[in-house]
Amino acid sequence: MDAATHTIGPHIFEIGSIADVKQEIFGPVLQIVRWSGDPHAVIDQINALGYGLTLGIQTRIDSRAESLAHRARVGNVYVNRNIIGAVVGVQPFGGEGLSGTGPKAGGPFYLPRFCGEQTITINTVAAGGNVTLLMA
Amino acid sequence: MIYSANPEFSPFGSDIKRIIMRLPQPYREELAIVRRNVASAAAVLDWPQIIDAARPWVTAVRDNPPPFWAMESLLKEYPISKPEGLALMRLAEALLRVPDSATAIALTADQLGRANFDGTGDGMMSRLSNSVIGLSKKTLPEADHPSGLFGKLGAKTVVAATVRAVQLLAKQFVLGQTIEEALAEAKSQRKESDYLRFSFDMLGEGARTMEDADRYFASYEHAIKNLAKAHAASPTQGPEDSDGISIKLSALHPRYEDAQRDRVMNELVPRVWQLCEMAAAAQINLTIDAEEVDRLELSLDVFEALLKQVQAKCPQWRGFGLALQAYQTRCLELIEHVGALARQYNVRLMCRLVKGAYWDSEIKRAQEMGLPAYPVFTHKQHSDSSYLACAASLLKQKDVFFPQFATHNAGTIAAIFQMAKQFDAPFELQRLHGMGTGVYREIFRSGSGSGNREKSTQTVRIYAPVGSHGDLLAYLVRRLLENGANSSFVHQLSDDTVDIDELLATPLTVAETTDLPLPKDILLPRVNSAGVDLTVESMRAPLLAAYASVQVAHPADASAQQAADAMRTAHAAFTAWRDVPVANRAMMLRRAADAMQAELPRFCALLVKEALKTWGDAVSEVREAIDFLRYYADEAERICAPIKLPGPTGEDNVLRLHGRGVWVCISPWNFPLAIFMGQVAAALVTGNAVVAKPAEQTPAVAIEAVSLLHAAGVPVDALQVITGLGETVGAALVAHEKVAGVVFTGSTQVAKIIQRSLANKDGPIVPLIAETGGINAMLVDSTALPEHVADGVVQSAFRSAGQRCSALRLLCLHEEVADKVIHMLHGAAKELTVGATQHLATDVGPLIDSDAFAGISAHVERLNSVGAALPRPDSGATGRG
Ligand SMILES: Cc1cc2nc3c(=O)[nH]c(=O)nc-3n(C[C@H](O)[C@H](O)[C@H](O)COP(=O)(O)OP(=O)(O)OC[C@H]3O[C@@H](n4cnc5c(N)ncnc54)[C@H](O)[C@@H]3O)c2cc1C
Repeated sequence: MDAATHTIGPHIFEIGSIADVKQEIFGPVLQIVRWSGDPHAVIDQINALGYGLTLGIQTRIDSRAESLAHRARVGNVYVNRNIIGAVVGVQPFGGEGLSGTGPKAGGPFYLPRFCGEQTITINTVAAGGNVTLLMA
Repeated sequence: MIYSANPEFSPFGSDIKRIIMRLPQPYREELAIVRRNVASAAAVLDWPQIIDAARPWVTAVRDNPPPFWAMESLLKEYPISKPEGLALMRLAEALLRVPDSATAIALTADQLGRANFDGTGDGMMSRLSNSVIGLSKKTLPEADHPSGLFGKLGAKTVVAATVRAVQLLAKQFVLGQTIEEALAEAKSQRKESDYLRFSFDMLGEGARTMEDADRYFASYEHAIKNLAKAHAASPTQGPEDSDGISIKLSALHPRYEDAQRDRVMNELVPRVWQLCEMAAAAQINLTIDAEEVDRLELSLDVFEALLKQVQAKCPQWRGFGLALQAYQTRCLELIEHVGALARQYNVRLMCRLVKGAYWDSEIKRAQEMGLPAYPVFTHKQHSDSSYLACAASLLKQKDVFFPQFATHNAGTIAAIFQMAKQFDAPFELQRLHGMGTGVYREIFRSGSGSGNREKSTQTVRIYAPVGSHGDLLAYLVRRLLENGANSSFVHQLSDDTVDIDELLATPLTVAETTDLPLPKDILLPRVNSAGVDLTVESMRAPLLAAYASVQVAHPADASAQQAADAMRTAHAAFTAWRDVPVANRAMMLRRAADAMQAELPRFCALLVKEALKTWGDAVSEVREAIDFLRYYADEAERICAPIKLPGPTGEDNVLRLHGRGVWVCISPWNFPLAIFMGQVAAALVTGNAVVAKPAEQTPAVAIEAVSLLHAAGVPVDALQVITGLGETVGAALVAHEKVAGVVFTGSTQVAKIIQRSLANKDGPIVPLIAETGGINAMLVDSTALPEHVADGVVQSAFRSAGQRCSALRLLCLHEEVADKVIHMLHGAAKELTVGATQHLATDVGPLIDSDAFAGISAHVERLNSVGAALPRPDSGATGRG
């Protein structure tokens, strides 16, 4: 750590349980827990934290990756890679719960949220009659 | 970790300045290079004769196929393109390292569940498949839900058998588990031919920690000692006639990367030199394996440093060399350069020519980085013709090269024989242990293809991996892919439907078209943003130059009154802007995107200076901003087109989207350009007016971004930027009566304050889009590859000093692999360079300001006190800064 330059090197801590993580630490600090048994239970504990932005899954069991992702309430799931660097239009970015409202930035549902919508219904028979129907 | 010491701006921070690139930049237009290669190879080759020479070999191999256990035979039955082959490959990659039976069962069930192993071929592997793998399919529980005890017992047996099958596969590719075993095996194989040589390869993943590097060093050292001992029996033999060693530089240093050049030169070079000295004393061949494209220039720096030592301390050594990859478009220039170095230092080299083993990952990397072209050829035949042009170049430079041609391709081999005869140059052939056995059997039997049937005197060196089967996995998968690829010679040889004429067809032609889009075209119709390879001098120079000149503006904070004025002005401009056709609004975004692309160096420099981004992060961020502009331009045109709706006759129904009014965009300092631009562009292009407030730490880059949009045609009143604190200006904007929507990225806490402020307002209900933080986790089970996990974790948790909302906070490790992974993570984290971000070597930059520093420090202290109570596998390093 260097207060003059505001640098803090990487820190790694092992903690007792997932529930011990109370808050996001916005710096180079990693906390580690160990698990055993059913990985789905781990996902449940992660969900219980209330946030839902990114999740990494590292496994070679494809069906497991699929079912864990399905169970997780997070916006961006990454399997067998890092979990940063979402690409516009490729990995639309954004989460749920304490992580945000959505819609995902860089995704197909983002822009409509910025818009008002209007329908126009025109009675085309007001001037005379139903030309389309009669001429068909 | 390493703290970078030099506060002065100097990208390499030391006196070893590299001013020029040794080779042309790697991303050049392919076809011109291919034409040159084809012309130079065609000038020295007679292809019909090559076909005549190679035809008997391949015919004989087909008439008398390799043994059932050979890779070729196996992949014929289970091609990688089919689920069975893929399952086999994936089991081979992972199964042997899984420590616990429950997970091994789940993995086996998962992979076998997808495949149909009830093959009908004969031979041992398919018998194995019928009896073991086929059986396992029937008895295994469904992937992740092992049923009762009986199922489990059955499953264990099946998994044990599958493990044995994979081990059998692995055995084909390792010569021995130890160097002693491998040497004994080599000796026994040599009984069949005096002309067999070996080059031993000590297996393993690249080093992630210094401890890994030390272990690999010890294993190379031990191997060379044993080779020296063996060679002492026939001391008069030169390196051409004795067994040698192949080394990977990535195994000998945890940060063998261009950006860490100082460390590589100071720490790696002396290590490799120790190995070289031993090899020189024993007069054996030591080859530096070729690795990824972005390490080529660096490897040449290392190579030259070593050559200097060779010249000074053991000029008589003729066994030093490196591998050259013909699939790189720079290979011919590389050979010229290496030849020039050899002459300069007066050292005769043994150089191995390969096509190259990382083709797929080079292609992926170039696409991900948005590079201008591929650094490797995109057609198999182009790699082949490059190989031949390079071979000719090596053979012509007899004074400095003893070429070693590593290939299993009969056509390539026949062409080598033809050229070598023409140039009257000595050489050797090389193959991988367990591969190319059929073709080489025929060459040995028939001589050099000149028609004479006497036994060949051509030397062949076998590249022979040494190590435990567990360490073989990555190598094994490479080989499976290589053998399984449709374009591969070995694959086509084993496929009887491929005609021999096709198999031996001339590669000396130019494929004008390609199915592989350039990196810029992978997202068509949208253009991908162009990136920068920071290892390439000509690409990074403009960035460094921009850093030297760019100024960070420090605008004064706006007042609440100015904020209110901006809202009113924007509101007045709204209607006119809304009525600008969407196509025009979209065009302005695209124009801004092009301008930003052109000014990428300046924006990167600004991000490094103002937001303390590392260079790599800065490039990614500018690209993201460009992508947002282009993506939202396309999206707006898509969604703003009127949608005709169905209904009764006599009525027209149409749905249209339009801007809502003035949006307030509040963005954070951690992506001061990309997130800022994303919010603003989305609001603007849908026909809204915008008042944007960048983070108080990073207003300068935002102001630059806004001027770009103004220059692209967005009216000044419709887009305004207001700088200042969130508590004051931000709050004033949100509370303003004219707000039609708020888009915010930042903390959950502030998002809630905004939400409350909006709710408290009279008037319309205002929508809020909030993107906030996360306690992002990664779950790792025992099938994952620890090295791969370490890479992903280090990048996710520590890159950008963890100041990303996506960053990893919580790593959940399966208990069976936790100790190993934690140990590796500590070791890998220790190798990161912490410091000022203008240095190219810096991995972890500063926190954004003193508040952030104080906050994170407090957390670290708290965790130190809590964490200390817990049992830790490596207490020495845990929690240490
Ligand atoms: C002794 C030995 C040592 C080796 N050492 C190294 C080393 O240090 N570094 C290294 O990288 N590799 C090394 N290799 C691996 C080598 O690169 C591959 O084995 C080799 O490319 C296979 O070539 P081939 O002539 O046997 O087969 P072929 O089937 O004729 O060629 C296959 C090769 O063509 C290229 N290719 C395939 N598809 C395409 C395409 N669409 N466009 C362009 N090119 C394509 C790839 O390079 C592929 O490997 C070594 C191989 C041997 C035999």
